[in-house]
Amino acid sequence: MAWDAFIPSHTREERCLSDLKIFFASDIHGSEVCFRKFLNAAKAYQVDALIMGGDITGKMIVPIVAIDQGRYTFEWLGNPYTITADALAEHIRQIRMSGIYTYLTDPDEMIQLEENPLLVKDVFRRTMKASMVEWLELAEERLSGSGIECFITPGNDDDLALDEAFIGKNVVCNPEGKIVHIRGEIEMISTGYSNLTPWHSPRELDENALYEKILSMASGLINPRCSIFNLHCPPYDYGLDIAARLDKSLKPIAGIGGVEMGPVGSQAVLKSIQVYQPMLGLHGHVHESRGAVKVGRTLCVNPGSEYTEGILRGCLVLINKKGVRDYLLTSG
Amino acid sequence: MDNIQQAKVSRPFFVREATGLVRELSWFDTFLCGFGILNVALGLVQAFAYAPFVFPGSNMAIAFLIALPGAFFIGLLNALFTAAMPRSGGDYVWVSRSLSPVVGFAVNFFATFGVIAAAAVNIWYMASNFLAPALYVMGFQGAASWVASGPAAIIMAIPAIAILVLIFSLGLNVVRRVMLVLFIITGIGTIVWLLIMLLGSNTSFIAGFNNVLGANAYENMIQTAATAGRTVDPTQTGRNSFYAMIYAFQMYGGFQMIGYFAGEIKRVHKSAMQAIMTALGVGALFFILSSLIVVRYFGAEFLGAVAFLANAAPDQLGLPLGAYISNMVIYMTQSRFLQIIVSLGFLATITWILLPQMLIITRNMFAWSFDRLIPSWVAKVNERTHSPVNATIIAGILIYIMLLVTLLTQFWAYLINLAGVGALVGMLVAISAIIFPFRRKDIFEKAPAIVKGKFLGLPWLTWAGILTLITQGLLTFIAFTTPAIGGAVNMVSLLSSLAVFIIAFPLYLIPYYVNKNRGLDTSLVYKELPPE
Repeated sequence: MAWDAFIPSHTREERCLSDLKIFFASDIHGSEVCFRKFLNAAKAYQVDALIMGGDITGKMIVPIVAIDQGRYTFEWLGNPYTITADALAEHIRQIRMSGIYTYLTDPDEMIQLEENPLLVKDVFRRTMKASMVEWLELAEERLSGSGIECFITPGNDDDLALDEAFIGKNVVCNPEGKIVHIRGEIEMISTGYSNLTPWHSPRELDENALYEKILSMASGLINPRCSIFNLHCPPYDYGLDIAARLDKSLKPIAGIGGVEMGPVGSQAVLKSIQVYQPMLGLHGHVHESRGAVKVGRTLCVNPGSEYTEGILRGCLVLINKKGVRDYLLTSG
Repeated sequence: MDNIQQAKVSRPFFVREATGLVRELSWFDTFLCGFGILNVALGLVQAFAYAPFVFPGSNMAIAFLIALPGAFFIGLLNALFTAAMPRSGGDYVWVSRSLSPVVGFAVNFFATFGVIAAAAVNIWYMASNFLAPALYVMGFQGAASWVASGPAAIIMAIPAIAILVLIFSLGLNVVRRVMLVLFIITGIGTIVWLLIMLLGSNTSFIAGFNNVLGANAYENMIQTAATAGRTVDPTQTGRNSFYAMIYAFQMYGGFQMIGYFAGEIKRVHKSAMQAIMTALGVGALFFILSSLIVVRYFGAEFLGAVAFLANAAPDQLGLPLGAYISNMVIYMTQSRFLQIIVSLGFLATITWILLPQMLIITRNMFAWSFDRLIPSWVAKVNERTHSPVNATIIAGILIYIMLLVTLLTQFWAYLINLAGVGALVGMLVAISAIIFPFRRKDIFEKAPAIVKGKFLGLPWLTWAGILTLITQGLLTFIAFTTPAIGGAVNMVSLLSSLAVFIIAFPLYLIPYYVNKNRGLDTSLVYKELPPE
């Protein structure tokens, strides 16, 4: 007979199994420096598991145009540059650090890119995937043998093709749409899909479909109250989802005394948390709405994002037998 | 070659459709944001209540003008810091990242204490100097004289704070709507008030004043003040106008905070600078022109006499309502309708200012809670209203406690030089700006060009810090060398004032060690992660 057979069943159900320290970050949007900080957080914060909540890829590409043999030109932060091949690597490194991709091209292709948005889309897709492959290789190299688990979920802004980059990885896991077990014990469900946004990003669902997607995972949990809901979009109107209100042209609505702000989170995420009451909700998506709140018994966190400044915002969560023992929002 | 040039100039980058890519605010949008922060009527009321007494013969229009460069430096510092760290949340994080987290908390704690104290004083004055005239002109003279009394302020504050808490409990959208309504009432009242003064003259005010209070009442007021000891040294008026800039700074204060919202919009380096400088520019213009109008209408000697008697010999004032110029509406026009419009405008303006003050207090509590310096239940969001009810109620209680302390104790006598200590604390923010480019190269190097730009080899942010340091140093000097502002400076008074700042250190360190014992190392909040 197992020792916990003496514990009343309702208590046993709510007892979480292990002392665990996890580090959660989200929305680094292609920032090389933030990704490297994320990997280094494992050692710096001495955690058992790293979780990245989505929106990993960048939003912008700076084309670097080869103008003649050994010379390149580009514009960066409003300044035009013409450089030699020797300086190319360093300039690419600097641009990549801030979350912006570079693309080596020539004048002819540049004209085609300007005229054909589909070509630009393809360049983005290839560049993002290549960057993701590099990052995952780096993560495997850094974390292999460390015993630290690493979960990276693509978010609503990440192209669907990105999922292929995770195939065959041993250390890094893409937990999208699945139940995974952290250290073999704590159940976690994840999705990077968000509710509908005005930007029509690659991974969006209406609230009903999003709820169904979360439900399909949550219904398979053995112990939902001791589980983690790693859902990119924050719950609706609990203070983790406050963003600038936009008009139809996607311009912030400004009035007397400032920009109008309002909730943009997901009703589906809120409902699923209210129904299942997991011990922890990990969210991102709304960069400016950093915080931690309780939805019923569930601690929900959104560490926010300052990726453009190379600052990795995150959240350390301490879990013990009783559930979430404590948390700390970090700014590394 | 032509193609290359065209490509380089026309498309320096490609952007894909992704969340958060919003359009820029127009200049007019930014102007509206900045304009909404101004509170010209309240600023003038407070400036003319004290400056003519503390600095006899001072010219407030000149004081506002002299204060402008210093306010510009402070605004520049805020705009550049906001551009460098757009989502960081103000001086708490700026100082924490540049100097140390404990100093950042101390600066923020002092600022929050100042806002709580200011809100308490505003609640007090709301009854005595703004509700009283509104009731008076509406025909409730008895009620007006009752609310103008000290005990009434203690009682009236309870429903006032309760309404404030209720508004915040209903959510930010309700707060915004209330602010908009109050802004409209304030705007109409202020415009009517200024028009009455602009279309009238000192002669018409004297006639109105004497009409209500008796023949020669205007001259008698000036004479009574002179008899009570008011003098103006003509050789010191220039110096006094210079020193009066400390009040101008208080009126300008707050304009730089609008940079915070700029973090939510595109091209923050541009929008923050636009918003801050627009607010300062428009504000300065309004304050300077309005000061000229006020002095022309009421008369400098009269304003000086009223301020002197109100502060030095209140029993000789002899006015049915208080000494604030907001109370003078009953002498400015005989039209009951216009009197009501103006007095309601003033009532709205003092109420309006309480809302952002409440917002600052609760937001800071949230930041402390997230940093585990205060219990997490403080930042709990109410399940039903989705608003931070606990933080709002605590803020309301703190404001009320501060009001009781203000009215029932000699508290302010101990905090004699809060303005001076405030400037000292401002110097810490300036120092953090000076050293930021050198201590936090990692963040600084990624900042927009406007932050990294250099002049004589030093970054603009460092220059803004140096100039702000000089400005705050000057304000500290004025505050500590003007007894009428802060009383005599001695070790006891200085320590009492500094105590508010110093107490923040144990308030930070005690939870730090308690958390550490529990296994939560809060020093990790700002721990730098290696980027290699």
